[in-house]
Amino acid sequence: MIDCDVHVQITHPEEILKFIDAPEREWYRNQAYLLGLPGYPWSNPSTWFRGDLAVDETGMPGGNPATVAKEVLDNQGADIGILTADDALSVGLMQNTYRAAALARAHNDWFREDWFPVDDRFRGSIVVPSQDPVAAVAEIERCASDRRFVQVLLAGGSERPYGDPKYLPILEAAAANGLAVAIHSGMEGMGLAHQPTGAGAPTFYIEWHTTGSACSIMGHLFSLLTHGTFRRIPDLKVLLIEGGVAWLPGMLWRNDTNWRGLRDDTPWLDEPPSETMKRHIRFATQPLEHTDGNDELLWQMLAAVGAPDILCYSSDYPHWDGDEPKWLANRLPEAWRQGVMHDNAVNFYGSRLDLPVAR
Amino acid sequence: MSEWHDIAAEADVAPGAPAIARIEGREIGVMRDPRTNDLIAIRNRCPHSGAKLCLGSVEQRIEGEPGGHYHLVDRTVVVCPWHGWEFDASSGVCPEDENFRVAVYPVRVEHGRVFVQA
Ligand code: FES
Repeated sequence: MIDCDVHVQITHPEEILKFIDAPEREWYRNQAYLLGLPGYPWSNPSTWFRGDLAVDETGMPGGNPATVAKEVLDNQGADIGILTADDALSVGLMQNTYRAAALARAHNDWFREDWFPVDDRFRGSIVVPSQDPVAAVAEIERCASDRRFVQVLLAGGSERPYGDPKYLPILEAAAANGLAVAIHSGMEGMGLAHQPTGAGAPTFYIEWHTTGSACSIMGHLFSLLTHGTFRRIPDLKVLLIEGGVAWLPGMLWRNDTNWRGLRDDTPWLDEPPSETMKRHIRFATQPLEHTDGNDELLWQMLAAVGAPDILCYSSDYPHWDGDEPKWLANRLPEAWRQGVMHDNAVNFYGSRLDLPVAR
Repeated sequence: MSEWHDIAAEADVAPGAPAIARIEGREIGVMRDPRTNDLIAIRNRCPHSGAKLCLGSVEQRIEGEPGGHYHLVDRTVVVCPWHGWEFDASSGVCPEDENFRVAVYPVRVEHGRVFVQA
């Protein structure tokens, strides 16, 4: 099993700040625990975390590499755990571009120095100051030679959808270095990012969790497809994380219908966008929607748009809304299990995972 | 026939410190309600996706009316440690979806020992 979304928590900020040059460190300390990252307008009413995990003296899980290796790799049975950032997902939304670049560098160094050496089943994500594409590209180039980094991580919340040419250099640098690009929902409405929905800012966490995190992923998906990004960068691979999947067939059908009638505006789209999606884009499964007894319907709908090949398992450890791997595997049609739980991620990430396809 | 089983010393069951026993293949936990001090015996497996329910919390249920009104009601729920679904401590039913229910068991204390009928 390969887990495509393991959220590392910053429980001890000094662990990261040690990778920041001394004259700059105090600034981050003065920003309190979020280190200058934009805060959450919508907070979970109870807890962000599963209640059955080991916590350190800060009361938080997910911050200790050995504990994460035990809980995700040993206990949940992952052959590979791909580390994604948590709060640092929003580094590209900080108002201060220079502080963002330094913090991104430090976070990436932290993964490389403090996390990867603890377990060779860890792989990681490169966080980048996406508000400054030149600096983001430099950071990708700096990290890419370490093959334990498998992807560049961008937040769902953004200034523009990622098909915008502003972001092209970031996507090109990822593809040129054999890295995937992962877009993880979240951080909408924070820092430089726009509000989570076209209707404006939601009031409640549940609204954000239902609509905001799906809307941003939809926005990026159709932006990338419509700009013809995958014609410009044929090697680009994109993983969309935690935006849900049950909406996907409906939106793809809607978009393909529009493509037939509106092609004058985007004549470079030479095939139904849903076909491009199948070759270049994968979806992390968590949180796989509950269907109230209609799972068969969900599988049929997803199969119509490329499942199981477009799905890769993710746990979202250590968050409260995670999908436990055995439960998820049992829920899937039997013929989908091997692909969704393992093979699709191997094919997607390629040699950076360094695993045989069948294991 | 369900029988009474001696599970734990009463003093050992505290809020946040459940007692867990395996009875005929089922894991059953006894949790302490911090509000009423009552004991709750409940199957240690969430009917949603299988979390160990006794690692969750026992809470007083919050209800409310539109307009931003919240109030605590006289109802205790066991809250799953994974996805936060609630289960009524007396019936085991999830108030949000009665198709999801967890077994709850009679519990009594005798001579400082906790007995569960299962
Ligand atoms: S496993 Fe209990 S609420 Fe999901």
